[in-house]
Formats: sequence, C-alpha cells, structure tokens
Amino acid sequence: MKNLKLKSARAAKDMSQQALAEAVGVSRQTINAIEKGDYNPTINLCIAICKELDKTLDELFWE
Amino acid sequence: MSDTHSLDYTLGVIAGMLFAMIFAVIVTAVHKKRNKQKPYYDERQQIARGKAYEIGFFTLMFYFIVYGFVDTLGVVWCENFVGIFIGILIAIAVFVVTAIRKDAYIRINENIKSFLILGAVIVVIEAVCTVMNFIDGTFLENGKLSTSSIAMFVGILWLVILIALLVHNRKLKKEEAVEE
Repeated sequence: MKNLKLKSARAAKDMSQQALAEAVGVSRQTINAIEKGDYNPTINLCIAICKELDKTLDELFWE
Repeated sequence: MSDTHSLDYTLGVIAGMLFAMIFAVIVTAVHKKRNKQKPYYDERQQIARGKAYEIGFFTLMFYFIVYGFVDTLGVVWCENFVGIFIGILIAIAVFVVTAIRKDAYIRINENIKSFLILGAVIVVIEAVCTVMNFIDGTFLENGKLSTSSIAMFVGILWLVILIALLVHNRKLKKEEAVEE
C-alpha cells in the first residue's frame, strides 16, 4: 500500500527523495520503495525519517 | 587440462595470479581514495542482496545437477575445471544481475563510473585473451573447451554486468526525472 502520508510530508518540507535519502542515510530508491509501499522500513529508519520530517511515527506510519 | 605442466606454464599461472592480485589492490586503493565517504548498503539493499544470493545459490545447484546429469550420459563438452568454473560464473551473473535490478549492487556513496571503466577494461583484456587463444588453437583441446576458454566466459560475465548496470542506470535516471 502506498505511503502517501510520507510523500506529502516530504513535499511539505520541500524535500526531494534524494535529499531525504541523504539525510537519513539510505538510497533514493529505498525512499521511493517506502513511498510506493514496496518496502517496509525497520523501526530505526522510520524514526530517522520522522525526525527529519518533524513528524511522529503515528503521523507517518500508522494507518 | 593436461596431466603434466611444464615449469613455464606453472610460473605463468603464478605470475598471472600475482598480477591480478596487485591489480586488485591498486584498483581498491584508487577506489577508496575517490570515495571519500565510506560506501555502504542500506537496510533494503542488504535484504535485496540476501535474496539475490539465494537465487544465485539455487542457480548454482541447478547447474551442477544438469552438469552432472550430462556428464553421466557421457557427453563431455569441456574439461571438469571449466565446467565447474562456468557454473560459478553463471551463479555470479544471476546474483549480480538480480542485485542490480533491485538496486542493491552499487553501494551508497560509491562511484559507478570507476566501476564501469574497470569492467570495460576487463572485458577488453578478456576479449584479447580469447582471440589469442583462438589463434593459438588452445581454446579447444581434444574437442573440449580447455581452461584457456575461461577468459571468454569471464569476459561474457563482465559484459553482462556492464549491460545490466547501464540499463539499470538509465532506468534510474528516468525515474529521477519523473520524480523531479
């Protein structure tokens, strides 16, 4: 299932996939896969993304 | 492979191995110097590589079953060492192409250009070796693929890797353009 919340939060911060990927230390394709729902990130990566986007885990990853 | 090898042949093999090792050390050192940030695989890439290893492993098992079966039937098309080596090369090719397709071959912070250049150099070297082996007539021995033919298969492996990398890179660039 697509993670549109992550995509919109990233867009709200005016960040590209590449910029977010570099900030959290993963490849751009990993961020792309998370947004497309092709990959379920570990809790550590979820936390890193949340911190970078100033969001909580619930806001980005809870359905 | 013949049962007895001359001292020249053995020395040649040792010299070749030494050259390959020195070449690998130099390439690694240059690679490290160019990549100032330490290259690494992220968590998705590590999982994808695990899957790719699995597929490569089962490919190797399947190849050996087929190879053994063909050998049992009395069809001898290559020297044993060559047959085993081809199986390993096929398994490596399957692993690498799978990893490339899953974007899990080139590490984060790794320079793909130097990798492509290295691959192209190896393909050219192996192509030259293969042509020389054909001219020398050592490519086949008693109608079977000899150890000299390995150069051609290594060259094919690298060519496959290069093509897969270029195709994947093109796909990524298209994706990035859409994302922007």
